[in-house]
Amino acid sequence: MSSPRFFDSIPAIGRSALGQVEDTFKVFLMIYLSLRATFRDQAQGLGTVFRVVSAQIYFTGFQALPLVTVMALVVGTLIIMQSSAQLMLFGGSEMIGNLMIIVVVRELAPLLVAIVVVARSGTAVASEIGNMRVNREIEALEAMGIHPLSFIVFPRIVGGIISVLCLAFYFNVIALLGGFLVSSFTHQMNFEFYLDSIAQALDVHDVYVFLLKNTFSGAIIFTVCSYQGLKVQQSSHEVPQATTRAVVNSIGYVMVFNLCVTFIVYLKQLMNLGII
Amino acid sequence: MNMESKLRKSIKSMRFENVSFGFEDRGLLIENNTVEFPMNKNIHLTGPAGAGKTTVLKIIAGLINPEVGKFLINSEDALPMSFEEFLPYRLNIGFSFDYGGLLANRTLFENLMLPLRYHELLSHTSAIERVDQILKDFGLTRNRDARPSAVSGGHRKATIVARAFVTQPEMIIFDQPTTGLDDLAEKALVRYIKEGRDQGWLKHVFIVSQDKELLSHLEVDSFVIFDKKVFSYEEFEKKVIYA
Repeated sequence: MSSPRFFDSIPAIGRSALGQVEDTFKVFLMIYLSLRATFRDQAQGLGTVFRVVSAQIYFTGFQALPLVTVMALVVGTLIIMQSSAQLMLFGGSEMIGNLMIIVVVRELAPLLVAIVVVARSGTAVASEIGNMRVNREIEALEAMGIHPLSFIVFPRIVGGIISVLCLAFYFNVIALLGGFLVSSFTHQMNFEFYLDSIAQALDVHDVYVFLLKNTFSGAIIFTVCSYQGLKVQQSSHEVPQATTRAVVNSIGYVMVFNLCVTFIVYLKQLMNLGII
Repeated sequence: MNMESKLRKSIKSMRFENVSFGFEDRGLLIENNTVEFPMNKNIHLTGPAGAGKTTVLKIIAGLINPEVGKFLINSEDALPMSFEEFLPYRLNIGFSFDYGGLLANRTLFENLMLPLRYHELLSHTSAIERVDQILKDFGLTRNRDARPSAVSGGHRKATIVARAFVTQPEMIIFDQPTTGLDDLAEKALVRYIKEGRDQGWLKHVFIVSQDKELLSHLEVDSFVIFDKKVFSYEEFEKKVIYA
């Protein structure tokens, strides 16, 4: 016999699912509204946007470089060490470039960079905007005739996208080259052979996937975090809750988005091979 | 015509028609109110704590929208207006919050510069001159380059009050402006209201305050918020006190 508790929980599950759908809809709505506000705001000069965008790039992109460097070196080294040993064993060492492109460029770089950006900057944005709500700074901006979505949200999304793209590119370079250089101390591998293998494996679709995943990751992270910050109503105890929701939701959305892109690319490959 | 007047629309009349507003957790604060606010006056809103005085001020400033009724400015309903459509009126309204409202990551000087430079109401040099003069008059020059968290509560309050004057709007709304203000800043507040009127840029003032000394310096028309209704003082006498 089924437990009555299970049936009792169905409405709660339904409400939670509907809440997620509503939140997703509102996030899309906020992207639209911030774009609309920015383009309709005749007062906001490019200088104002540029100042906030450049500050965002500095905090999100530049200050994350040490962490991303270490992470990329570790990931690149681990994959090269593990894969080259296995591939040489089976006589397929020329495949190392393919493996690095598939694992690092297509999958790990967008995900790991997104997680770093959420942890460092997404949390900062959500808590900063949440505190601005509590301190009535958002209301004060409105009272001064400054649209909060064009003044606060839009520049952060733009700065976030540029930062994530640059960080992901940097991550790839360090993971592919730095990882090789580190592992070359412990491993015998020809650098020219490795570079050639990478160049052979890269094609234009990888560039599209790189741009698609990282652009949307940046947009998702900063929109979701700004949205959660703006949801804070009156009290400072809501700020950490909003920050937690921002982290969980933005990582969730980024993972689902990356999975969808990978799935579409995988399907396309199967179609190209004539399997489906 | 300078930029200040190009962007702004003058406010000639202001009226609530059957306006109701409340918060989810507190129920209706004002219900089915129809009231015409007299223009070119100092309007003092009074009433018991929690009656909805700040709410009425925020409706007038366009910061909250009532669910029911019409808020007519110059006979135009402001409630369905988008942010951009309401902007020309908003630029003619200065708002002084009862607490909070200063941007934490900007200095006191930058907080006052923001509305002037964002809307390019004045050239950079003229904006600096005006802001420095206001900071001086309100006794804030010493903390000009400090952030709000680094100054005393009185100076934060003085900055909020001073910011309401900085764009020289036609209407200024003060919510408890003298709480925590020192003598110098309080005198500056009264002087700026009087000078604004004399110079012709300030026309309408809405004020919520229990400070009898401040009110004694201003000729005020009182409105009372009582039992979810906004009354002129004469109406309040007729309908509530002597009813």
